[in-house]
Amino acid sequence: MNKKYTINRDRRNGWTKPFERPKSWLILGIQHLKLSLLIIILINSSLIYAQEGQIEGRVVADHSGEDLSFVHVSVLDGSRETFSKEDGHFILGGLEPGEYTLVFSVIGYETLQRSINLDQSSVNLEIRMHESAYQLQEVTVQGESEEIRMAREVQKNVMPVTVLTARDIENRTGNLNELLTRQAGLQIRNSGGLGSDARISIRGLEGNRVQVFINGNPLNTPDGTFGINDLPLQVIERVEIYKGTIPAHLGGDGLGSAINVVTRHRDVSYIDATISRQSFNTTIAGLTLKKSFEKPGIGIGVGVFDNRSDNDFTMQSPYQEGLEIKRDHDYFHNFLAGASITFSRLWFDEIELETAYNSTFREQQGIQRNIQHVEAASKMNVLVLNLQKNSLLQGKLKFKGNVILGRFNTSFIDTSSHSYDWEGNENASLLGRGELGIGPNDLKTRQDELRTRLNLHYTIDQHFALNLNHTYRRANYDPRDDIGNEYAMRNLYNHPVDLENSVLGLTVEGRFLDEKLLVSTAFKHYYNQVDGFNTNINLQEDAEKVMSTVHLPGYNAGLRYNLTDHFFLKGSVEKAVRLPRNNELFGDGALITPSITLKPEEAFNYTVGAVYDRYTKDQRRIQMESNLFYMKVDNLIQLAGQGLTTGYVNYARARIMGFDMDVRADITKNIYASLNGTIQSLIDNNRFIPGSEEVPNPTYGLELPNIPKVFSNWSFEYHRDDLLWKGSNTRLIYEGNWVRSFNYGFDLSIYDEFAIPGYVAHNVIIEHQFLHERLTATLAVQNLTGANIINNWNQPLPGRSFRIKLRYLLLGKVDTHNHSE
Amino acid sequence: MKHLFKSTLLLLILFLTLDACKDDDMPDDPVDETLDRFLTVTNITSSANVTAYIGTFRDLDVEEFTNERSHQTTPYPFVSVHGDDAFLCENRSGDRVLKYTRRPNGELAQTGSLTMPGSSQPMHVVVANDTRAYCSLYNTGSIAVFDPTSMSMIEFIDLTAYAKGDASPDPGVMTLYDGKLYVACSQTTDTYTSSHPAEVIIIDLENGNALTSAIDDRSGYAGNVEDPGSIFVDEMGDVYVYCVSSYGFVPGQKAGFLRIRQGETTFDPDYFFNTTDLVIAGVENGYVDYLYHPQYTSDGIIYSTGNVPALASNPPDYINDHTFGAFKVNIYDQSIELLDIPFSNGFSASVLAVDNIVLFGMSSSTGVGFFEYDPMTGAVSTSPLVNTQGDPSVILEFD
Repeated sequence: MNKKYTINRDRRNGWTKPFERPKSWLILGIQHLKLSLLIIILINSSLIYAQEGQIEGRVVADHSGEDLSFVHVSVLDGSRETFSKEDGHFILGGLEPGEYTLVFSVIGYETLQRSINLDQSSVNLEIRMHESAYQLQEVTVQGESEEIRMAREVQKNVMPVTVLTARDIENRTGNLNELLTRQAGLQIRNSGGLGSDARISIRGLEGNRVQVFINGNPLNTPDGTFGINDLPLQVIERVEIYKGTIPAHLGGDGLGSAINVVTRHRDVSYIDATISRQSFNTTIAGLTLKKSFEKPGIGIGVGVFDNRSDNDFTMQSPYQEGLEIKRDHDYFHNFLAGASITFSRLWFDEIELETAYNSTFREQQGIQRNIQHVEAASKMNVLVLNLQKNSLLQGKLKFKGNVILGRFNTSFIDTSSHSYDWEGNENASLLGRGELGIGPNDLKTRQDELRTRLNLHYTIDQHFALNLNHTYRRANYDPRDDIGNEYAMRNLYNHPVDLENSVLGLTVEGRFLDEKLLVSTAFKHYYNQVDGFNTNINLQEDAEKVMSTVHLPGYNAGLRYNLTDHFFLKGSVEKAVRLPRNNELFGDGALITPSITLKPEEAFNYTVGAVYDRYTKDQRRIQMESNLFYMKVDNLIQLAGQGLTTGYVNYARARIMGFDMDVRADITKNIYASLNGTIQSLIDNNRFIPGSEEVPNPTYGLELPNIPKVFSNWSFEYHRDDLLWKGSNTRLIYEGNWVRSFNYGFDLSIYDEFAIPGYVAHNVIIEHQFLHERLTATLAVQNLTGANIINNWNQPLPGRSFRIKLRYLLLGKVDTHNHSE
Repeated sequence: MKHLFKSTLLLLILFLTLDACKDDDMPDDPVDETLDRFLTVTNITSSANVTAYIGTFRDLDVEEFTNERSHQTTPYPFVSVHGDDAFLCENRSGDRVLKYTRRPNGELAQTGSLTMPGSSQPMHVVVANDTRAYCSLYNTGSIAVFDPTSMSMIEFIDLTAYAKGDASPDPGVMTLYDGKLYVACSQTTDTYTSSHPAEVIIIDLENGNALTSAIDDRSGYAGNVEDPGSIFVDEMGDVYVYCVSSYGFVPGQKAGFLRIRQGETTFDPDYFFNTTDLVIAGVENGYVDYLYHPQYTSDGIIYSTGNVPALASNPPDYINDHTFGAFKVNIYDQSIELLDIPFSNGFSASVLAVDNIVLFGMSSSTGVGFFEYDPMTGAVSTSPLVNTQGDPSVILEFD
């Protein structure tokens, strides 16, 4: 088997290998699924599974005797395959007596064939594999195969999840949001260029309803302080996209969908330097250095990253017909620096101390009005202690924990005494001072946070395991705006908020039928307490202190059943909760009044899916995944009002139904293609207008507006080694995406004209690796045809852009220890 | 396996090409040459992004008004009618003045538009004749003069010399009488309060647009920007303006009616109808902090809605609070009477006196639509005479 070919295949595919064991086909035809009943039936069926012939064994490195994980073990004719586990152990089951030729392959080692005569029920082997000749590449792929193995482990989760691996991400020229928006069921609602507001939308639910985690810790920084799009691509090991059900080991709220970004922890010394230049005077640069000291088990790493852009693209004004505006007040700059020290030879298997500093500056571009002075900035300081112990209580208990201390300082400045028209003429401010809002603002906010996370995983026996996860967060939010208060002649803004919340999750996992059947059920408890002030503007007296406390249960359950080695079914249910945020509970001190009695949003989610994933005899990989989902969401929080003031209320209820499908395949040895599509429908489920039990809701049964309903992504890739010269690796990628036009309002009238236009966009990428993959050059044209892309009403986005990226990656000697989230 | 792969791929391509196009076919109704009599704007608040619909209906026998033939527009727009035309200002969501014309068969056709200067915030259109109309531009502090037939710009009348504390005197609602355009200026300090005296700028259209200004510190924030009816002329030619005085947000300020006598350019020092301090029988806690959507009828009688602050929860509950009541106001004897119409939220509360009845567009806990009050008998409807699809913020009758 060609070793490099394997590398190429895996770099594209974050999908899991299906669990082994052949079985007959079943047709997915579940229409009225009672998942709990199905779970019980399938658990009971574990008692009656049959014994079959099998070949098992252990794969080790010939030179060191070390166990080799993720070795691909297959019967030569491709009829059976599996991968070795962490301890090098593998089982090929379901075999009739006879002679077999097994093929063992893993990156960094020479492929090995062994003939076996299975004349009894079980054969036990020890396979010793020889290192391949080329050391550097071995080191590279050793780390990557561990990452891919972890990605596959996640993919095998009972929950519906899509995984993007580092190989999908690291050499791309764009940002994480651009990669996320190419996934089935997911959209990014952008409002501008680099650094602009971007909301992640999964199954039509967006914003705070989609929880974002970094390494399992909820990302709840103050607005503008830090987002996942600020994460440099080269520090990402994988991105897990959960659709419909969030595993309880991720301690956070949300309506059933989440994104968990796992950062990379290579346990080798390395240098990773990148620089990218892009249209609109955009520069993205990063440098990561790591030195590992193998004997004492110490690793020291530093990273510095800088992103900046003028975002000076030209847009057509949505307000002034024929007016073309070159954006001139949209500069964005983000600087991130971090350092870490890791100890891996102490009582804990890993002790890691990390610190990070992040600063962001962004100007506010006007679209309806020419804004020239409004700007926002933020600074974040974080100290993180991670602890990990993999083997307690005779290896049955794993412990992971962390403590995070953070300070976030944000500022928002809007104090200009002038306003400007689109010809650039300067006039006195419309409000006396300030270009936005209801007057001048010089808002400075400090937020201090303490977070802890504890995760215990206890293996009871070969069938059952428990996982306990607890996250705790305590924060105080202290805003100051003396200029705003002076202008308003009352204290509108200086009202601190104290926040305390925790999410406790207990998961029971079961593995039956020789791991063909996985079941998982989890119970969660959400606690949220917020102390703030009732800044009701209708009151003349000073704001009184008020408190909001919530205790709520949640749960989920799921199963995965392997019909064959390559084909498995998944099903899950969840009751999910999204807690109200500070701004929703306490308003803005001015025209958004507090809503301290807000209830959490709730969702009941049901997902069934099927996954097919196999290698053909000629080692081409074919993957298909589809999901059918139904969600019922209540108490959706939105702004409402009575004319002058507004506030957040629990208003909408919705039914969400949809279907997504994803197909990826190696068409030939050198050509890979993918296609995914999503159809979703979100229906207003309020029969009566809220607050009434007799007044019909005029939009009951209609599609909720402003949500993309149908969209698709596709790609073709030609990849070839030694195309330009020996030792080089080239990928030519074409990708496209399509979003069907959708209504900004309800579909009520034959004249409905507020539509967000659909579009088809095309990207072309050339990636070339040379110097034995140390140097990567990437050229990209994004939105090749300059399609008019709009994700949000009246928010023009950049047109065609050009990008070039250079990356230098030098890896040192391998260390077998690897971090995993 | 190949079959499975091909079938799946085919299925995926198939469903992606199922671009269920919107049905563009127009209803094939028989032509009815009768023109609709009423124009309304309803606002759909069922989702976070509110949109509004402007449409017409034939008469009050229409029990259900839907937006099937209405035109989508920005939330809570301001609308004026002249002849068969309606002129719509997009409120804060746009710079355009859109012109609609009623057609047979219940159609309202968009027949023109005029884009005002960027971010100028057009507020109110007053049409003098077929060739001349006036539009107040709140942010830029001017009056746009345009041809309402061709929807072309003629000139701007600059009012910025009267600005107090910022760049614009915030011209809002207007009334045209005897060759003069009376422009109520809210002179806001921020978007919802004013610390300046009430002011009406008078433009003498027949004398080179000469400007004078009437100022009175007994009240402030002249003219509710949402209410064309908050400045009007009575049968005696006196101009009245209702001043909302920061909508009750600033203690000590008094909302009420001020008057400019016919031919005068100053407020009548002998007249101020203080509505803030008036105790109204039947009203929770007795007070209304401001009147909303007033419409003058005759003999000093105004029908209006108004906000009763005592009915608001603390903090406000925007689902269950219905704080806007219906009122009969007498500006001559300075009295206010509460009418027994269900209370509404603030996104409706529109008013129209028509024939011998008064319509109140209310969003109440018992119905959404136009409730009826009969001044002759005092009878009120407890459910809408016409149900509407969305909160009715505007109700107008074509001339």
